[in-house]
Amino acid sequence: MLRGRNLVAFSRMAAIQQRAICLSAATKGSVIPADASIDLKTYEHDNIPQAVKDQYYPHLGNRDIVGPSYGTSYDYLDCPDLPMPAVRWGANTPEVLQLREKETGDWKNLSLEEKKQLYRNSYRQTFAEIEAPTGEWKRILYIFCYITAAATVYLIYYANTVPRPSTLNKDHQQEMVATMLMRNNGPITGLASKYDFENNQWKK
Amino acid sequence: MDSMKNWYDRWICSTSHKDIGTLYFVFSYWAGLVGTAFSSIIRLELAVPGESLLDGQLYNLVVTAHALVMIFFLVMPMMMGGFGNWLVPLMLKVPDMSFPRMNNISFWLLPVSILLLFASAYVESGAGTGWTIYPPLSSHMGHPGPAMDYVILSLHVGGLSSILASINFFTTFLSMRLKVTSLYRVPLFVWCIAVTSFLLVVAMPVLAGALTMLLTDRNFNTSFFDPNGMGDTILFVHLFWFFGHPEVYILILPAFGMISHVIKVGSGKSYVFGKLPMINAILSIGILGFIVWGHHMFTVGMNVDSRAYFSTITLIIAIPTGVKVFSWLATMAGGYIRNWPMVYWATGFIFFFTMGGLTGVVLASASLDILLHDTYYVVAHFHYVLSMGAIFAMFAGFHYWFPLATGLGLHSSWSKAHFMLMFVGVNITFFPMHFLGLAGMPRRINDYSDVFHVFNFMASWGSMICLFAVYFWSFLLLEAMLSQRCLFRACVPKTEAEWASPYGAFPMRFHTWSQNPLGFQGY
Repeated sequence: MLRGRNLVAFSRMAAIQQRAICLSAATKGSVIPADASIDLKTYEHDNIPQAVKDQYYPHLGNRDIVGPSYGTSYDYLDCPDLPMPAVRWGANTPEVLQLREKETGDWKNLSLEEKKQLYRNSYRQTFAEIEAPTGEWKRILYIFCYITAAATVYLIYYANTVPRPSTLNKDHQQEMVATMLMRNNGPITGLASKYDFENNQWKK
Repeated sequence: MDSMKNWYDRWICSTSHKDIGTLYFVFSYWAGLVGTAFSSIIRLELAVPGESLLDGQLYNLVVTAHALVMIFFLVMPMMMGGFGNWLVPLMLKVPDMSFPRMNNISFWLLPVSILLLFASAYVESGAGTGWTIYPPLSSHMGHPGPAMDYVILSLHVGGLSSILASINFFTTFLSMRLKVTSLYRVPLFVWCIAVTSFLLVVAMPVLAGALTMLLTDRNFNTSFFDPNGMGDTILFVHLFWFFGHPEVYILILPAFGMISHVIKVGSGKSYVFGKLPMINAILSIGILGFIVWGHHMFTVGMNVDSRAYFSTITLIIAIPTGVKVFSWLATMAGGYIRNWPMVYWATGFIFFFTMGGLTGVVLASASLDILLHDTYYVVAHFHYVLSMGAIFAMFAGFHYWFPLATGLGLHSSWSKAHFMLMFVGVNITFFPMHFLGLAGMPRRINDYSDVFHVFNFMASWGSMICLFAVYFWSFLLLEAMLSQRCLFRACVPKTEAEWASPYGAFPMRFHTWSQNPLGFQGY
């Protein structure tokens, strides 16, 4: 079992590896190696410090940095109030680069399918997909019901195993009422005042 | 790290704010489990009328221990020691606290304190006085054995731990800042910790004095609180609550700071609405907290004008609190509220802390308090502001900063289920207590009239749901450690100083900053 310093080191290694996996393109098609003769500077954001490029491009591979970062690192993020992620989602494949060249011209020349392809290369999800219901509430509800039921069963079991005072017994309560009536407790405003002794019933 | 070749150097002789913060977290989490167990025992006893589990003295002992453990060993260590130690140096961008070795002893005094408290339960008949430990019940007349002395010593040691930690935090806040970090630029959580530290440094010695006077009354034949020796029992009540009211603000102010951060990030905002009024509100609450103690003592026979004064000033202290609540709401307004567990906790905090505050306004009226003092209405009030205030805020802060400290993520859906369990559980537990109090059920009784049966059973049902929710929470923590869902990017804006890891990875390294940054405030 990992412990202490080893756990921290393992977590950091796993984080870097996962980050590389998540940052790499989930696209079909060929991936151009980083040293190919593609002019990335044409499609990346202006004014990116060289230090940032040196730090992030080895992890990003062929993906462009297209904007300022939201947090402390240049990553892709699907978020409705952050519509411009810092990093393009897809890698620069030959097909995409051709489309991007065509995109610099009149957009009326782009077919709907090409526009969608360009969008999917830059973004992972549409706004509708980001905000689509996930059905997570069902999982939350069933866990809640399951655990609440367990707690309820336990309390009912406990309440039925401990001895209860006799005062909770209906028969005992009726005997108490009869005794109080016999003693004429509260003859003016109390219990006995609400009982009709002549007709042997409660007053209406 | 090279000098720490073994676990003894790292964990017993630690001078790292992160490691000491981790120690505080582990200790206070365990203490929280103990306090939860005590609360479950209390609610099981009260589930049905009659004595089922505990006799009178043992019940009083459990009630006392529940309060002391929750206040002094869960909320205070986790908020000040856990969150404070982890976050204050990171937020101020300094390598560590001002006095790292004193930081260490502040933590290690706590296990000693809790051991003394538990030891008190095993000697004679234990200390069944309530956490307010009023004489004559707590003096030699009510508790002649040594158990009460163990409790007094436990509180002394715990108080010393708090005072030393507070000196550390306050010094760090005042002197270990960058020149560019003006007081206005200091994050709100650090402001809250600083004001809390001030409250602790001023109020804790008052408790220490009262405890010492009680100790000498019990063992050295003084009569500070004995009318037979020209003393006054009410003197202890005054001394205790002069500490006790700042103490409750000590419990809640760090929560305010955490909620400010969580609400800001959870709403997608870069700044909390009205930071300067928020700072002023924190300062106002801290200062006004020292002059309202009489509202805990409306039934001792005070002068009517004194009661009128304390009622008035207690209502006035609601104003800065209202400023904070409305500022949080304004921070959320117009933002994109993220569907994160921490936002659930923070929103729950705002709503239920406000509800607890409303019942506090009812209790602030001296006339009404004559009827409601020492009833379950008071229990409902302070559990709304603590169980649904401090605890919700701690969960919110934990969800927010757990990935920072460990580099791991908690399961999102299961965390929301846990929130629902706690939300429903605490409300079912404490809402019926309002009706019990209004119907006249007194506090600290282990049996009650049958007429209170239904609401007590409901409250016990809610308590069982909370207990199972705590089991589920323990499972969530274990699952997070085992699943290793590693954090690779923090979805927080650059304005959050504590997330600015210079290495771009989490968890934070042992030393975040190897030296004080240039432009150090103190030089």
